[in-house]
Amino acid sequence: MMAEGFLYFLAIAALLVYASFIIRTAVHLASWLKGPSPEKPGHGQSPGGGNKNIRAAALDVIFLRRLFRVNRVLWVGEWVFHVSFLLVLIRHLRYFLTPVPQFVWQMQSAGRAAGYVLPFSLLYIIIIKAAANRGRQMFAYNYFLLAGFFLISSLGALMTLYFYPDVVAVKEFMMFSLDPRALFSGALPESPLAGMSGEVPFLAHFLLALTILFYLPTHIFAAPFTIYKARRRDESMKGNFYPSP
Amino acid sequence: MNSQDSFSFTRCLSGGQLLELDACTQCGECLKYCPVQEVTGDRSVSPPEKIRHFKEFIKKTSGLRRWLFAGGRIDENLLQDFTKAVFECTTCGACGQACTVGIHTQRLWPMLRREMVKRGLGPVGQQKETPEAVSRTGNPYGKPSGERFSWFLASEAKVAEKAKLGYYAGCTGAYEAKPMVRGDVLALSRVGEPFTMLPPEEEVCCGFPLFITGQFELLEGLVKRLAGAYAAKGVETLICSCPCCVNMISRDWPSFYGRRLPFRAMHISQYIDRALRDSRLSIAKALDERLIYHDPCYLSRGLGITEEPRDILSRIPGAKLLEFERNRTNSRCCGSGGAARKVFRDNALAIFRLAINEACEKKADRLVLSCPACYSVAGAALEGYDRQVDVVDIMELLSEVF
Ligand code: SF4
Ligand code: SF4
Repeated sequence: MMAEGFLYFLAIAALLVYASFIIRTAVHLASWLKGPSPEKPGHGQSPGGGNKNIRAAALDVIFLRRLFRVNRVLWVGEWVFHVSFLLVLIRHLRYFLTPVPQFVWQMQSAGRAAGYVLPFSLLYIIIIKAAANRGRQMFAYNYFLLAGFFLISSLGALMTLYFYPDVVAVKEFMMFSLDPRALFSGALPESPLAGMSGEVPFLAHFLLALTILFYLPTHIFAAPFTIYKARRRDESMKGNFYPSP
Repeated sequence: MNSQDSFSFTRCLSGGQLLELDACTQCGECLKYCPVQEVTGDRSVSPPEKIRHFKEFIKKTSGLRRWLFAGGRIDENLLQDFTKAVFECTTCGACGQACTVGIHTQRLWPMLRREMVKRGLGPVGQQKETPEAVSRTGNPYGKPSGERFSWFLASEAKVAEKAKLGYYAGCTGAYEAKPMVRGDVLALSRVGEPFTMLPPEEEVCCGFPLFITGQFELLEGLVKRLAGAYAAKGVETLICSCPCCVNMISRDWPSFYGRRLPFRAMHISQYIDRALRDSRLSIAKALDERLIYHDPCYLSRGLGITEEPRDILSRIPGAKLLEFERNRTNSRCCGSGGAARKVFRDNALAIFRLAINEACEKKADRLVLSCPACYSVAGAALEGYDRQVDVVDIMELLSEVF
């Protein structure tokens, strides 16, 4: 049975991880907004933006088209992973939002199905990468993230299939961990996690998720912008970059 | 300057480039396209490794970690290894072309090099002598201006005093790939549009070898001198034989010049292709040969020019155009880019020999180039190598069939 102290520890740890995530994101955002380098040279041509490029870049992001160009076998797994991860994230919003928006309810069955697909897509990615790299080019951080997501999603699928944690208790705990005032007032949620079914898998799932959030890669936010920039660059070079007079 | 100076590692990067560093997923998809990796197997050159290390340097000098924990010293060996890796890279941009998140590496690496130069860690090897050579002789090879191109100009071409069209031979072409420059001048003369050139002592370095090795100090002077001289000759279009020069002039000269250039830069293949299309130039002779064309990195990935050279070659009656497995914007570097040719000579030779091998396997009669740096490394790579193929510049070839 979970001690009250541990529940507080968990909630405080969660709060710290959320805070560090927000601060880290803000610091990176500020650095991206820094203007051009004070050094003399231009940083590449400045081609025009335009709706066409925005549309094309959106499709590049949604369908991971740049990956498709270079590795179609991996693309299958990555695309399935990204889509199912998004659906699972939307499904999880019910734990963080009150009242739960209508679209989140509508996405519940899709999110549930995606939850089963997610670990398989990750396993596929890990196998494809390991086979392609044959141990030569292991990028530890990339594997750490993949392994982390695989464990989290596997536990998630197991909870949906076998362990059935008490969703009301989970939601109350999540809301509690998101509310510093409640946390520091000393009031525990009405239905604490203690003694609920699936307590251990949930705790493992939650702690792993916190770990991944702490190490969450910045590319999640940065990549769509660089993909857009690349699209503008490519478009600007189509045909004749420096046309004849 | 010292390697541990307290300035942030972000000072040479734009916000967009910091975004690019953050965008790298460490997926490793770019690795299989890196020519240096291909011949050395050295992982430290790889884009994700360079990006990972540089991000670590940033964190130590300006990130939250520095703010919270008062920063820390960066391991001197790590800095030196990183410097070697970033200078061993040929800046070919193949990794950026393949990058799953579109990082513009051809532009990013020179700025990382610049930072290492500011810390007194770069450049490496002979690259250090470039500023002195350029100051003394006007070219990075330290050769006398008298050898630049007077050897053929007087007898083979008519150069106007002033004209709307200018031709810039460039240092590598003029000193290390002379048949290229001759081919360019013959092709230009054949078109018939008057063109002008600067006298050999005035046609100094465009600045690319300094820019690409992070040594910016002389650039403003060079750019102002050259841009002013072409403007004074009434040039509106400046033709170059070297793709690196076109990149440098188009992208970077305006910032060093301080305003818009009074002319535009073009690669010779663009101009000649246009002349062929407009029937201002025609090909008279047939050539019963199998030709394989190598796309230079700064022409294909740098400028997006891939079809013009092919169009020129496909107009030669009887010629059969072959393709490398990796072609157009996905082409493999010749090995000499990024001023790495002389410093990392073995890499350059090994990389170009991959092209020789493929050209031989495809039974090409001639390997066609359109960049003086490729041309220069080709000669060295063929020397003493057991597989041989004839190498020719595209304009040199064209001058055979007029
Ligand atoms: S620019 Fe070329 S040589 Fe440098 S890391 Fe990328 S692929 Fe390798
Ligand atoms: S492909 Fe792009 S994102 Fe992936 S490791 Fe290479 S540079 Fe990083």
